[in-house]
Amino acid sequence: MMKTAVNVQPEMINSMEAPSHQADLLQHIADAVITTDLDFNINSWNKAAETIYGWPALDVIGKRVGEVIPTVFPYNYQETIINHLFNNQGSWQGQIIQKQWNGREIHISTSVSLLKDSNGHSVGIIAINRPIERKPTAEIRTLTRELDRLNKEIEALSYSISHDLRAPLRAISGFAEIIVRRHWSDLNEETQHFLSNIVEASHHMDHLINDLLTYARLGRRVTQYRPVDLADLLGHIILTLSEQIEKTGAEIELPDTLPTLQTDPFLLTQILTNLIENAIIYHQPNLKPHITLTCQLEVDQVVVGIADNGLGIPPEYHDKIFNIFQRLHHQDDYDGNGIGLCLVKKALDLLSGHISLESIEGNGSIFWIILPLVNGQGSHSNR
Amino acid sequence: MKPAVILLVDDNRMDIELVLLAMAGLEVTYNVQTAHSGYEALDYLFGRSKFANRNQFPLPDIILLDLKMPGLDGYEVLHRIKTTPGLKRLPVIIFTSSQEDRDRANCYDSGANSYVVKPLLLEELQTIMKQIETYWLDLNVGPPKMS
Repeated sequence: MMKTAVNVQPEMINSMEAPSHQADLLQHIADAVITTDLDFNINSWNKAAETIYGWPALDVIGKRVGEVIPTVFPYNYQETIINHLFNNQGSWQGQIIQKQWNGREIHISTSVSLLKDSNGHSVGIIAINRPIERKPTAEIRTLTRELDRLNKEIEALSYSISHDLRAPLRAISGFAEIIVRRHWSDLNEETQHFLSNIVEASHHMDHLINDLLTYARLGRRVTQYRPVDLADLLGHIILTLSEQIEKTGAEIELPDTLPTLQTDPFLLTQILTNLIENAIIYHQPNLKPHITLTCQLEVDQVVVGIADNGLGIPPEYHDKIFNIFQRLHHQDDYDGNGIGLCLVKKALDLLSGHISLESIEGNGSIFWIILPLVNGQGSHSNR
Repeated sequence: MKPAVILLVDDNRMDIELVLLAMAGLEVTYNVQTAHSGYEALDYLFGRSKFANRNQFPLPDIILLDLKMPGLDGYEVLHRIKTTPGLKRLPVIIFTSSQEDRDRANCYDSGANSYVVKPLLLEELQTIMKQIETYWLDLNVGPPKMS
């Protein structure tokens, strides 16, 4: 069936209203048949496509296919297709994951081919997509049960950390503070120093517990997409970091226009807060942090750059820094507990995005966040 | 006028001590009663065993309730309070270490009136106690006393 469909001529597919037998056939087959021009703008969208993806043809004709049905997997879907269509055999078959109108992901078996006119020139692309029933095998069922068990264990552990580890910490910190307040002048210098260490260490442990809990919670959350005004979100983040910004004299430069994205605001806040906070913390001695944020909307993704003039990261650590508890600097020199970038990575995984890094030691860093665009997003607003 | 009565329910004696120290810094004096377990909390509220004397152990104006306690936990205490006609209108402020969404949802579903996370810093604890005083004992108009 797929071979037959590939031979369909574009004029025929474009003329869905013509009472031709072939057009009628395409409208009524069970697979989604989608044709686009060479820039991936949708030309036709049959009834099965309406049913499978939830978008009526009227709403999608003329729009880019990546905007209407974002492909979650493979990430570089369009590059893959272009590579195969134009450089290889002129067609591509495979399994992909796309998003329906409501953001729900569906597994699709797809066959994509070039459409050619009577002179053999490429004029468009046709995709024939069929949802795949994913029946779990016995092995998958066993693994799922094991995963459930591990998830429950992690949940019990984080719940226990939340309650049980905090109580003694509160007592250590609270009573140490009372001694500081009430008896500081009675203590000799050495005892004052030891007591200060207790207070400082207990505050550090509290931060550690909070970040570990946030990390554990991320995995249990259901990702919730909604329109997020990036300018508003960044304004809120900068407000929460205002104490550190003031303390270090940090300058944060934002672009004049920032888009509204269809994303999970909690996860994006985690990502941007941690990256901006790191850019503030790891600054060069005697140099105020200067952070430049950029945002570029592309066909099917948004690229956010966070550049700083800070310490930079040696190349051998470019991958390692995303591991939990990986620190490059001594606690006494720079705050931080080695969880922040791990949180960023996990939040990005949940948003089907990824992160890359350009950095030269001693010359600052640029972190690039790449997020796939979900349908209906990408509008710009002036700040 | 009699001072407002606060019933503090917590199995951790050090947390109780810290709350009492924080409250000692407030301008107004309160009658702070303590219960060290869920069972003791119910004994107090029902005026049983060592809490039988209502003059000495009056019904509280607010209850600060810890969640995780051995035996009868905070959830069960909350449930008993909110399903007992003579007690159900008492404002219950959950006072816990837990920031879990699940705990927050369950507590509100069970009729908790407020949910406060115990802070690490003594200074923050004092601020919280001051805010509880301002809102729950000063601004908020409580339910009519039940006979």
